[in-house]
Parts: sequence; C-alpha cells; structure tokens
Amino acid sequence: MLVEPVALSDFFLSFFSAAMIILTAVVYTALYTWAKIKTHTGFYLGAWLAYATLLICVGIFSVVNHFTGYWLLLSLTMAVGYAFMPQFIWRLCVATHADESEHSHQSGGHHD
Amino acid sequence: MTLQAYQEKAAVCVAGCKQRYAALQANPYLSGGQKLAVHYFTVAMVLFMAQLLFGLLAGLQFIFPSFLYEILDFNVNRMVHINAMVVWMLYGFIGSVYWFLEEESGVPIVGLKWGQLAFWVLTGAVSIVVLVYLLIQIGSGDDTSLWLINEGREYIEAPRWADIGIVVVILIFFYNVAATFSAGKWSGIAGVLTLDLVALAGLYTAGMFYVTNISIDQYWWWWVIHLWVEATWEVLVGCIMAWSLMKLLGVRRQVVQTWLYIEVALMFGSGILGLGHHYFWIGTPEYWFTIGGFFSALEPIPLVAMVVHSIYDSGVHRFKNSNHPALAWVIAHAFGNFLGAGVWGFMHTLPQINLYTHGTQWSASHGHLAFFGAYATINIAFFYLAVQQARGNVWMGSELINGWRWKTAAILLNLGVLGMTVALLIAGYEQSFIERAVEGSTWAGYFAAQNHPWFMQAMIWRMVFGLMTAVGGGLLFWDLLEIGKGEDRPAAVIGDAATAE
Repeated sequence: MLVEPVALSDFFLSFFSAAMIILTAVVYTALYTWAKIKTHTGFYLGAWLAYATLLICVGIFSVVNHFTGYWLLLSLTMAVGYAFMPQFIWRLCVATHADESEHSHQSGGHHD
Repeated sequence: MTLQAYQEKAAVCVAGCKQRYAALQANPYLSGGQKLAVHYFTVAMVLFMAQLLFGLLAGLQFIFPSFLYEILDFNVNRMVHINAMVVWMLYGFIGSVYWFLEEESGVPIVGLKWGQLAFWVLTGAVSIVVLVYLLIQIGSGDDTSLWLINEGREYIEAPRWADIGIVVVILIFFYNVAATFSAGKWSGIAGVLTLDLVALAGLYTAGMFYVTNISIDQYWWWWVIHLWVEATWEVLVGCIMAWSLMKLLGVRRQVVQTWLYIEVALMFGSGILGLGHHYFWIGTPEYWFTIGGFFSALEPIPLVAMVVHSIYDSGVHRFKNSNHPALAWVIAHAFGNFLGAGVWGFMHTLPQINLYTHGTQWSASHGHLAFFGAYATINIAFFYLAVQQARGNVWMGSELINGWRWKTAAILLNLGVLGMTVALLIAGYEQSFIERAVEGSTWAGYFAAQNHPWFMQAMIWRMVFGLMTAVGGGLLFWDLLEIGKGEDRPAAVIGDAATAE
C-alpha cells in the first residue's frame, strides 16, 4: 500500500490541522489583500503571522499523516503555493481592473 | 372539515394558480425566454420544498427507526431528498440561462417553442419518476425495473427512459443556447456556456450503461457524480455568476469574462483530476492515491483566490449594488462554498484519513454545506434578481417593504444548514473513530457506532437545525412570491454600461 493510515491517537490532529491549513491560508490571503489595499504594515505582519501558522499546520499534518517521499513533495507544494498564490491573484486583480477607475466614473448614479 | 369544504379550498387554490399563471404570461416586463425561466424557477422552488420535506422525514427515521417503516422507507426518503436537490439545482441553472439568453445574445431565443415543450416534458417526467419511486418501493431488480422503475445507481436512480429524456432535454436546451448565440452575438460567457452544455449532456451518458464489474461500474458512475458537480456545474454557475455580477454590482464585462477564463483554467487544473479522490477504495489501481491526493489538495486554491478578489472588490467598490437580497445570497455563496467545499472537503480528502471517513456522516456533513454553499445560494440569488425584474425592475435596496422576510429566511437557512453540518460532522467523527478505526469496519462496529450517544445526540441536533432550515425555506418561498409587490421606487442604477461592453 502506498499510504500509511493515520494512527488512532492522531485522528483529531489530522482533521484539525487539515482544516487549519485552509483557514490560515484564507486569513493570510485576506490580511495580505487588505494590507495591499490599505498599505498598512500591521496587516502585512498579521498576514505573515498567519502564514507562519499555516506552515506549522502543514508540518503537523505531514507528520500525523506519515508523509514520506512523494507526499512530502505535496506538503512542500502546499507551503510554497499558498505563499505565492495571493500575490499572483492580486496581480491578476490589478491587471484585470486596470482601466476601471475611468469606467466607474462613467457609470452609476443612484447608489445605496 | 367535510369533503365539500376540501373541494372548495382546492378549487380556490387552483383558481389562484391559474390567475398567477395568466399574470405571468401577460407580464410586460418579461421576454419569452424569461417567462420560460420563471416556469423553471417555480418548479425549482417546489422541488426545493420537496427536498426539505423528505430530508426531514429521513432525519426523523434516524431518531425513530420505525417511523413510516414499510410505508415510506428510509432509502426512499433519502433517494427523493437527494434527487430533488439535484433536479431543483438543474432547474435553477437552466432557468437562469434562459433568463439572460436573449439579453446576452441580443436576439429572441431560437426554437423557444422547443424549449417550452422540453420544460413540460421534463416536468412531467420528473413527476412520474417521483410517483413511481413512492408507489413501487420494493421488488426485484431486473432489466424491466432498470428501464421503468429505478436504475439502482445511487444519486442517479432515475430509470433509463427518464435518463434518455434528461439527455434529450439538455440537447434541446443546448440547441436553444447555441442557435440563439449563432443568430445573435457571441461573447466570452456565450462560448464557455455553450461548450459546457456539451459536457453537461455528454457526461450524463457515462452513467447510463450497465456492466457486471462493480469497479468498472463505479469508475464511470463517478464521471457523472464528480465531473457533473465539480466540473460542468462549476463552469455553468461561473457563467451565471459572471452575468449576475454585471447586473448586480455593475462589474465590467471584460473583468468577469477574464475571471471566467481563469476559473475554467483552475477547474481544468484541479477539479477534473480531483476525481481521483473517489477512486481510492473502489478497486482501481494504486496510482489514483497519488493523482487524487495531489489534485484534491489543489482544489481549495480557486476558493482562496476568490477571497482575494472579494476583498479587492469590497475594498475598492464597497459593494454598491442594486439588489440587497441577491447580494446577501452571493456573500452566503462565497462563505458557504469556501467552508463547505474547501475546509470540509480538505479535512478528509487525502487517503491516509479518507480510509476512515469515506461514506460516513462526515461525507453527508461535507455534502450538505458544499451543495448549499456552492449551488443553492447562487440559485436563490438569481431568483431574487429575476423577481426584481418581473415586478418591473423595482427597488430592492435598503428599507424594503417587508424586508424582515428575506433577512429572516436567509438567516434561518444559513444557520440551519451550518447547524446540520456541524451535527453531522460530530456524527461522522464518531463513526470514523468507532466503526472504522476501532472496530475495523465490521457489522458489529457499524451498529456500535449507530447506537453510540454521540451519534444519537448529533442526529437530534441535526433534526433541530433541519427544522430551522425548513422554516427558512418556507419563508423564502413566501418572500419570493411577495417581495417587490407594492414597491414603486425604481431599482438603483449600478454600472448600466457594464453588460453592453
């Protein structure tokens, strides 16, 4: 068998760390994006703190799931991917909305 | 109450329905395609109510196992509950496309009469299939039952004649869409939508042939279940969302279309081979562990990307919008999709843990929040957009007449589904632990888990939140029938040039 199942004693850690990977990824992403909009250093610090927590969660997840070889590569991909993905998506956002300010002045009227 | 009194009540009800139908046909604010869309939305809401009703009955049978035993068995309730969900979502998607087809293409719908015929055929077929499910619950399975009663495949139990009918209806729908865009103008949304409909009809045929090898059978069955839901439906909803965002928030066409292409790319990159997480335990080769594990880990990426864009938009545009109920449901979609599909999915997707969780209430927990968050919310948002125009494009911003109703419905539905999700999560955790890990998936383990206090208490809490969801659903139905009536303020104008670019 290519995989070794999670040990009984690590059940909770496996579920919890998996959920925390996604949740800390979203907190990191949200703070990073907000920091870009507000250009506020505090949000950047919060973002990198969330990312550091994400790395810890990936580490715990990898240990309790007995990751070796290929599966460790998966952990590495997650850690690197989540670090750069918000920056990549941010660039896409800015690029796709590039000429927005000009258009937004033309439209609208009654906003609530 | 006497029989005559019941007959009088029924006559009043029928007369009311006829009056509403006549009013719909004479509605000056709607085009031919939009009137057809309202037909689809109406049946979608009726099926949504049926989903809630049969869900409640099935939930009660977990608490009182003898409830309706041999009258309406659990397997039948569960089947109708899930089938109603699949079909109401499809009705919502098809209706939404008919709704915007003429505006998007710039011409009247080509072959609208075929579309109308397809609606009545499909609705008649759905009614017959459900009646047969309810009237013939027990019996032997052979070629006759496969063709006429129940195909026997979980989630797509419709008999073969209905399967063929579904494909024919989708092909007519495809004809309406492709021919209308060909006669009018093509756009990015039009291209993606048309190609997606080919996949929608084509993939369904993967679940329509029978093989004696259960592994091969399951292999193809998952093409329908996974690839419909995590590929073709996602793209279909992406198209509907793209058009809705132009209407609702005034987002420019170039922006939504670029992001639609990005979504399709991400879907190709993760969703399609994410199919592998269903191939862990059905007898397929071990390389599916590697493929399924890797691509399942990628699947939350589009959801996290969505967060970046949502914050960007809220920070820059401050959610200026023309329809508060619709926007509220779009926000519910963002959160529900992220939590249900992203967090709940990733918690148990890798084979190291899925070995224990597979097929437990954990899957049901994930399924409830993911389907609600990813699809039900978008349909409801679109219903509110449609009803706004059907009432004459009236005001649906703040200080709406009887605004408490949509807000209460949204709160009850969202809290209800979230509560059910958490209750099922607790039951699933207990099942994974006791039935699978401790007892080794034996029958004794199965019953030990089912009779454990944690499981039974979770089922009671699921029922409580299920009732909350049902009340919210009823309130939503009522609100959709009444919202905007008596409102004479015009709708807020948001980015009116957006869709025309």
